[in-house]
Amino acid sequence: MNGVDAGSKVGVQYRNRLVGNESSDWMPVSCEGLSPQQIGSALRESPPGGKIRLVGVPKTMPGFASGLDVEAQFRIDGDVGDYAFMLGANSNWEVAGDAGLGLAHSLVSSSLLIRGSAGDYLAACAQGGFVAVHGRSGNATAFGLAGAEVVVRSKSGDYAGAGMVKGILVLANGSGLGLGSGMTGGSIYLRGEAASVSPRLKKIRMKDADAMRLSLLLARAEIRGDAREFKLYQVPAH
Amino acid sequence: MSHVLDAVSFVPARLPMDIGFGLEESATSPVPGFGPELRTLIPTQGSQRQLQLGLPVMLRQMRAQHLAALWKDFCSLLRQAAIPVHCSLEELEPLPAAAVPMRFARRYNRQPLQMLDVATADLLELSLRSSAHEWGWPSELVTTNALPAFISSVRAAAGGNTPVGLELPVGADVADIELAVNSGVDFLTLHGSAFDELSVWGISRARQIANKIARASFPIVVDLPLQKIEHLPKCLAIGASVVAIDSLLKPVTDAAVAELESQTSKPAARTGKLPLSVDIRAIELRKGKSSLELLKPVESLLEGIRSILKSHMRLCAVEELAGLDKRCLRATSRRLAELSGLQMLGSLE
Repeated sequence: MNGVDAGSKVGVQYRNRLVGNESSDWMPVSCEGLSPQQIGSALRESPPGGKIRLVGVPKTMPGFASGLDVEAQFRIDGDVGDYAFMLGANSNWEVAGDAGLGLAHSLVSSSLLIRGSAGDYLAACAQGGFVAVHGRSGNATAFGLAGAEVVVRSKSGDYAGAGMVKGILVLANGSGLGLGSGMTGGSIYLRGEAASVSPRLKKIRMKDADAMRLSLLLARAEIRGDAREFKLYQVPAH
Repeated sequence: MSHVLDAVSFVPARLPMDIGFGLEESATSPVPGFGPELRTLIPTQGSQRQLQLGLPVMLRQMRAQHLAALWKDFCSLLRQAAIPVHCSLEELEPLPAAAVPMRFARRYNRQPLQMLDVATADLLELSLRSSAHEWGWPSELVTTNALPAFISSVRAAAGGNTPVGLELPVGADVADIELAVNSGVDFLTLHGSAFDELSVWGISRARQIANKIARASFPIVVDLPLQKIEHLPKCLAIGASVVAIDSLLKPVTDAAVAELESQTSKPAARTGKLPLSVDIRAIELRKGKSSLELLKPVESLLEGIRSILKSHMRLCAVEELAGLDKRCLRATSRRLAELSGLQMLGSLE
């Protein structure tokens, strides 16, 4: 555990692996009483390849794990606040609760699974990585998406996929107004109905490769579904 | 063609009571060649770190491609003078560490943040312009708490000790400026394509708002075209903390590049038989002036800026740059006086 300060609260936790109700593979680490800066430093000190369960993450803290580039797996028992995981790279996250506004903004390559719901601007401008939300997502899901893969199991709000440039958005239970407004690239897979679809989108016949890709994404997101239940929308190339 | 700042003049303070003593330049300076009183500090909220600029200036449009073979030595000059430059990481990668200046990175609306860009920038600016230069608040930031949370998150992603600022148009509405200053940014940039009466009014008003909401030393960067170095202290006095000097520097660097090109073209013109494998830049170093010599006018310009700032500070009897404010200025145009809140030259004190 290189770089861990001998006196730091988190350093002590990393060294004393506590055995809780879970598999002893997961190291419980408490964020209670730590400032946002201390939490950020502690996350950066996570042992590569480690499996860490975080408790007491303050849900009002904006930018949780922003810019974090650590090859480790993390679990959070509660909620995360606004702009969590911004610019995240190489980490795997599972959040048991809800996420605030702007989750995974400009995500680079991390993988996120949110078991609750997410706020507006989920995965806005996300360039890579994977985001799955089991609950609902707010408005402007995948706004300006730039290469990441995003899957939402429950209903999505208005303007999902607005300004998408690249990447894949999977909406497994319908969406609101203005699906794909201003979109210039990427693909949207939709199950159910959208309140309105941008006229620049065209429904495309799903090929086997598309269906396979969708199935893999659904499986990765732990969402049941058959690719044949989805419609594929893209902006036609000129 | 006259510039709006030509209608603004500094007025001298009362003569000092004691002359000849205590007026020596400071013998030591943390930034070689520049006195401590010309430093500009940009603090970072939530961090002890303050970015220290050697002069209240920065470069926002100078790029490696403009300077070609002069880029390395130009950057060395900037590093020595502690002047930040807006450029990409790729432009700095070929340089030795001793030549790398402070870098500021900019993100336009609707563009993804770039991790390496954010993590390595000395200053980070979030512009409210799209890459097509249309101004507007991004829809993701218009809800009440979104902007402070976004600024805070970006700062955290950058490591927690990088100043983060917001760029607005110089004539931005009061509500927009207030929203920006209240969002927790470390500095504000006011941008415009022309320096006119609206610009003077905009800078002055932004300074008033920043003083009221944040603090008198809240950094405001002004990116507007200047015509001569005399405009720089006036811009500071109206309300700027840092001024972009691209418009002053570009003619100088263009002349240096033109001279470099004329040096490299001479051998080829004479012999007409230049082997294709020969590096033209190597010929320039052997035959003509070195790039350091070619950049002497740039050094002179920076020295000229230093001199003019010091002379105006002496004129107004202030010891710090922050002491140059509107009280030191008078307007020679009634309209400008009304717009900017400056006193008219000739009005009774």
